Amino acid sequence: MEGYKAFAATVRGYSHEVKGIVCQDSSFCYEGVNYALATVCDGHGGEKYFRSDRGSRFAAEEFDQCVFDFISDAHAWHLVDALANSGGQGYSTVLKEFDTAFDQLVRNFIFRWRERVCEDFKSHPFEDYEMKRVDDASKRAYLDGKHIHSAYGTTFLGVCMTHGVCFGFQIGDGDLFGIDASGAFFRLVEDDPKIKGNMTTSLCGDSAFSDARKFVRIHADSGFPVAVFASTDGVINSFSEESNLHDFYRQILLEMTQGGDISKELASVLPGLSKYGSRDDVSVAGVVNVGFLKSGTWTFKQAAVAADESNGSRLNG
Amino acid sequence: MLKPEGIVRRKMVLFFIVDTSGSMWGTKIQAVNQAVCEVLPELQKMSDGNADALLQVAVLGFDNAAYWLTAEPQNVDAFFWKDLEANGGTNLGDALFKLNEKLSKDGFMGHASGAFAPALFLMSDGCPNDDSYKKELEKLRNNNWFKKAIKVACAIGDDAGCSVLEEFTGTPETILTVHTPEALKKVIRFVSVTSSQIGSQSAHVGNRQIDAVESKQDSMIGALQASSDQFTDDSDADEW
Repeated sequence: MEGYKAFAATVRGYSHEVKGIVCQDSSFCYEGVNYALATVCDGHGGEKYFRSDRGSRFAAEEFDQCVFDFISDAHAWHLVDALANSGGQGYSTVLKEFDTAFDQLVRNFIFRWRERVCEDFKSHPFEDYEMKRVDDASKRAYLDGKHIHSAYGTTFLGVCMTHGVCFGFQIGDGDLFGIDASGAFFRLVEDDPKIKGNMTTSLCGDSAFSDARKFVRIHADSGFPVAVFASTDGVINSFSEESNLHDFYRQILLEMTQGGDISKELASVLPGLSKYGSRDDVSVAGVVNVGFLKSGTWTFKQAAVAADESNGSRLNG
Repeated sequence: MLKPEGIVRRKMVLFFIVDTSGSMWGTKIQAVNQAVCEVLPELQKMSDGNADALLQVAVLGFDNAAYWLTAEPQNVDAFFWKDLEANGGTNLGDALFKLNEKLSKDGFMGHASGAFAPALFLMSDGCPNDDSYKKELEKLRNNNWFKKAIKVACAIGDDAGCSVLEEFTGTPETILTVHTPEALKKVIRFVSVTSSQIGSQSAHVGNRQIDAVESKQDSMIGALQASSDQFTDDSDADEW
């Protein structure tokens, strides 16, 4: 999509490196002709989620495929197009229709992820060594072929940006942020009261569909994001304040606007973020309207500098 | 070039809330002192290797009045246990009041996004002899950090007020009764290590029931039930 750049990066957590545990996060991005997408997924770390690294990878891959199918569907694309050009009369009807199609996308995604898990389980049944440290109740269930999706449990955060519509959804913890043309950050989905302290919802849960928090932003509305960011909880847990995370995102924007190699930069900086921060796996992904930022950087830079001065930290670039 | 700022490790505070009234004098308080000293290296090791949090310790003693032995939570690797002495009454109300004060962002739970819910470990061998404990407990129950905290209590001997301890933890499943110094030491070790392990992990989906979302307190209850044979006290009578 002209003017847009997507990025995604995942780094294994410091403690996972030390303990020899695989990275359970996954991320993915794609830039197509009509859209760009980005996703991050955080496989659960408990002992009964011993295939969560695969679960998070499956989620990232299936989201890509589901969005491709969605955008390729003539009716869905018509709705995206109608929303992008809507305003005033008929807007609410189109939005309602889009929401129904979007619901179906989410259902398809969950279904396909579950199918993918089943296929993997059939070709690679659980091994004894994998279940050695699993609690008795879960082990009994697994041996009976029940709740096998739990072993692949993961969170999911995905966004898709077209020229006129930005949409996405989240299941479980992690952060989805947008930034508008004035440089202000905002959360793309509401907080989930089920996610408190150490508790999270999950793609492997029976209530995954109702736990999915969706958002749709229309270009005609104020506050359409010029960039969207998704990150797993290992990222925000590495910062003392949410504003530090925003600063980090802002640095990513500036780096991309200035033509830097963001993948290389993230590969270099994320290991330190994990080591001195959460020690957890860390993933960041996003879609950025680089074209807009390059052409309209005056407004953005003013806002970024103002925001930065107000929280007393330095802005790089 | 990217230069993220404000990087911190999240923290989890383990609170030891210890009855230091006169009835704790002798083998009881000695066992507490010894057990906490012995478990510290294990907590240090856990903090160094822990995935998600830096472990800190805070100590609140209470007899005629409550008093903090730690002006602020201490990192376990820099923490030295100062032996507690026992004398005076059992002013639990003041302990709950002082705990409530510190379970706040202005108290020990600073770092807005940087603290996990704490673990609160109350040890007592008697009943409160103050009138304020019910009122202070009511206030404490409205504290969000308290609501989310892991709460375990150890009833030391037959005279301990189990119903009072249960009011504190909210459930009889997290009350452990001990009758001997050895049992007390085992409980202190188990609760300190397990509550720190559970309390310092980031988000997870439930352990006890497939796909059920559970709280850290639920996880702690599960751990206590699963490992009860490690610290079950078979003695019928007190040996202090």
